[in-house]
Amino acid sequence: MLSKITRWMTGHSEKLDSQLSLKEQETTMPVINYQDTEVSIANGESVLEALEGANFSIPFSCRAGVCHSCMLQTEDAIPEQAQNGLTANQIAQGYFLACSCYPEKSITVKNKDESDLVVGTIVDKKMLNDTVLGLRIQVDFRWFPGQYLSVWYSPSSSGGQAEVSIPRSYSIASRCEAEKIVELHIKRHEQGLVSRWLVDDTSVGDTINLSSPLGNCFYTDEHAQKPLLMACTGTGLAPLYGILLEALAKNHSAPIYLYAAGGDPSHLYYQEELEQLAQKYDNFTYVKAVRRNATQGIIEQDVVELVKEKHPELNGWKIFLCGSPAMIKTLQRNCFFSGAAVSDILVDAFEMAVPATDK
Amino acid sequence: MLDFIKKIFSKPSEEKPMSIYEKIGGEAAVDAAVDIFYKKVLADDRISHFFDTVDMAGMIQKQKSFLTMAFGGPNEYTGKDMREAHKHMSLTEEHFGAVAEALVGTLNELSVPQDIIDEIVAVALSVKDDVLNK
Repeated sequence: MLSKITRWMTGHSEKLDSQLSLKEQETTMPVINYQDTEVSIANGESVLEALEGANFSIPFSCRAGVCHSCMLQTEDAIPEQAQNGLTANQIAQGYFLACSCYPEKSITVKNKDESDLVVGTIVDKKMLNDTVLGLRIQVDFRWFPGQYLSVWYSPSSSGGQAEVSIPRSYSIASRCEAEKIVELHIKRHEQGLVSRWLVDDTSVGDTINLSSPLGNCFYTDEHAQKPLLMACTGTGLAPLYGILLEALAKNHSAPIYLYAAGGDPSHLYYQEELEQLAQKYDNFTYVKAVRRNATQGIIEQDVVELVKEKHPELNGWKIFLCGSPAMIKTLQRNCFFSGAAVSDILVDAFEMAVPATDK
Repeated sequence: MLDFIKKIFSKPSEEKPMSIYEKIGGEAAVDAAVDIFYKKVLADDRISHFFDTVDMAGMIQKQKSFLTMAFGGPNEYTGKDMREAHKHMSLTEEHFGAVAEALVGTLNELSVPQDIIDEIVAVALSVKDDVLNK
């Protein structure tokens, strides 16, 4: 009160103003909420220093905002400098660097890529080709199409003995709209415990356990002016389909190329939907490629070679690659050597579970 | 960045001495150098397998950290960190030489003046024994 009167009496001197705001800050010292603990931040301390002071062990290396070892995640407002050097996709997910974060307000933070267990209800099941199931699940969280989530194997009729819970990751092919329905594309593998359960044994109305979505492979407004190149094999189409729908819904104006590849034509799916989109949107080109038995409208060529041939110059392009790690590694490297910046290449590598392959 | 370097060097430096990192343009210099550097190491059969990974974005972050250190930028790496990070790779003189070549080639491509290249190489050499676990 006294300082308020003083300020009023002396006029709005800038110096006094800043002293006042400093005082106000001191009286409400910001607090970090981390792993159910409140850690207060001393004057001039970074989030990293404050958490270390409270005996938390946060990975770090350079402590100067370069190495990104100390990256954490929050849904609260973040001082700009704590996101310096991060990609648009990391910023969209609330990632920040603990070593460079000096919050003025209290902040709730968590380790990055820490997801919560949630439940969803199956609302639709439809085979998209002979072996790929389109599974639609009603959920109550937000996501970016192209991110992935884990489905936990938990058969409801397990006959007494509790089953060991097994997670499998699937990418999200639908946009996050008002009704919040995630669409997953499940390839049924003969040896796949989780995929056989999802395809054969689940029914509409069942609730299933999920982990909240993660991943960097999605569309942001930062991409709006850039031509997009997307390439996938098999159910790698799922994240790309989601990204494509998002880009088109946001009136992406630059060209979009989608290369969907498979072993033979029976491995492709959503062909009609994608052809319709290609007709409707002049800037969208849909290319189908298979290794053998190509039919009309399908190119018989390795997708890595095809992309290399059609896109020798990728400077300024945004690239999305989804599929097996081996294919991604080669494609990614080719795109980099064709002029794309590494930060403009977003990938979703489908690591196979061993021995039960499920993606 | 080339313009930036030229501007810096045409200006008489009567103020406090700048670090190499500041002289060549700080973070922007690292950003400009990292893509060139990464292409060089990926194209070099002697060392490409150390750098060839699905997680290219993670790898480029490591390269940025390395270049920031080599340019004398902000970092708190110690010899021990360098030793820990590299000891499982069984690196040889040839590997170290190949990376040094890529570094010098990158700086040449960016028209960094020779005396600054010498300073940067000296920084890289200062961690050689740790990197090779000698």
